[in-house]
Formats: sequence, C-alpha cells, structure tokens
Amino acid sequence: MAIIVNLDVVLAKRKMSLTELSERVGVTMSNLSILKTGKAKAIRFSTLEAICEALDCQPGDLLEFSED
Amino acid sequence: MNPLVMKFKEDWSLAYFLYYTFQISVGLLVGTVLISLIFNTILFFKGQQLIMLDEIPVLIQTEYFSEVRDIKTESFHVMIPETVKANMHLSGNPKTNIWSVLYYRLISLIRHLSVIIALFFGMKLFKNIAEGESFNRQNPKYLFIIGWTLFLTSCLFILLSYLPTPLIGSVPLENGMRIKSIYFSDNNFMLGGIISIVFGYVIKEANRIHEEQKLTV
Repeated sequence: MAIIVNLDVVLAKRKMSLTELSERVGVTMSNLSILKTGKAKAIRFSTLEAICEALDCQPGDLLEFSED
Repeated sequence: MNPLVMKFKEDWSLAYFLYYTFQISVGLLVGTVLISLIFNTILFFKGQQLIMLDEIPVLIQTEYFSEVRDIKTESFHVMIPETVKANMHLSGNPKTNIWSVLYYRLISLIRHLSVIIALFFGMKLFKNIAEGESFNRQNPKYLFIIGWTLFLTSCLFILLSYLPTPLIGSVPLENGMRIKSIYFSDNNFMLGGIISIVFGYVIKEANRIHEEQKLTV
C-alpha cells in the first residue's frame, strides 16, 4: 500500500517548473523535491492547499492510492 | 577521526565537558589496565615468589559477634550489621596458585572492560550531542550497548557471588567470622544499565518522530 505523489505529472500538464512552484507556494525546493520523489512521510493541509491553488487542481490530482 | 585523540574546542557546554571527561577516563582506565597486565606478566615470568594477586571485595559474616554488634552510649546507638563488606588484599606465589590468580584476574578484567565499554560509548554519545546531533541514528545503539554491557556484567557478578571462592574461601579467620562470598556486584551497574536501555528506547522513538517531522512537507 502506498500513496503516490503525481506532482511531476501535474507540473508537466501546467508547464510549470519546480522552481516556479516553489516561489509561488513559498515551500523550499528541497521540500518540494522530497514531495516529488515520494520520500515525504506527511503533507500539511496548508501545503496541499497552497499547491492546489498554485496549480489550479484538486488534491486527488496530486495524490493517488496504490494497493502494492 | 580517532575518538581517543583529544581535540579541545572552545565550546565548554555540559555535553563537551562530559565528552572530555569520558575521554580522559577511558584513557586513564585503559592505561591502568595495560600497565597492570604488563607489570604482573613481567613479575610472573621473573619468578617472583610473593606478589600482589588481587584486591578482592568480599562479604564477611560476623554471626557470633551479636553481643558486640550493638554499641550503646548515652547519646547514640550504633549497630554493626551481621554482614560487612571488605576489600581483601591477596598476595602469594602466582605459580602455585595459577588458576585462582587467573580467576580473579578475569573477573577484574571483565569489570574494567565493562566500565571501559560504557565510558567509550558514552564518550561517542556526548560527542554527537555536543555537535548538535542528538537525533543521530547511532545514539540509541550506543545507549543499548552501554545498558546491556552494564546490566549483563551486573548479572554475572550476582551469579559469581553464589560460586565458591578459590583461595580466600579457605582463609582461617577469627572464630565466628567467615567469608560469605566475593562481592563484585554493584547495584549502580544494574541501575545504570536499566536506565541506559530505557533511554535507548526513548531516543529511538524520538528519532522516529524527528525523522517523520523532517520529512513532513
């Protein structure tokens, strides 16, 4: 069981770089990299809200549940 | 870097102070054990007839001295317990008592080694804390090593107090006095060991929470 973060997919669809997202959301590049590479253990609602707002998407677009 | 090489920093926080103290203690204790080993080996091979075999802590039972154990004066009352602790200085020809010498030397060595191990890993622990790495993954390991070493040594000493005592067990004492057992067991060892093991689990859990917090975006 795992939660997959599709941040790179949404970023590609919006044609936005990680640096730009970092500036818009106010989250450091290293933290966004942790999230993008799936190393994150948790995500705050405030961060999720800010990312969804910046990328104009739903939390479900960023996060996906996988059985394996 | 060799942890036994001292490098003083200008930061005199408590952690650094303990780090240096432990470092000096390890050095002194290792030196003492080595000098003692070398000195005794030289004396043994030189064929010395009478050398100090060991200093052995024992429990002496004074069961027939009940009438002199209670000392009463006008203003106070002193009671000497039935069992008293004492350090016996054992000297003799090492060649004729070789197994007894080796037995006591081995116990003494185990005791010193356990203290050296505890001090050495304590030193590494305080070094990490002094350098701001309280949540280092190695810290719980160090605490477990310290804890289990002290705890098991303490258990061994308790076990040894029930075993026969070579040489000193046959020492003729004053009537009414007898050597009950050797007494290496130290409650501080057991208490220190248990506290270290518990702290090890606490730090391990703290590390897990810290790691989770670090990876929360």
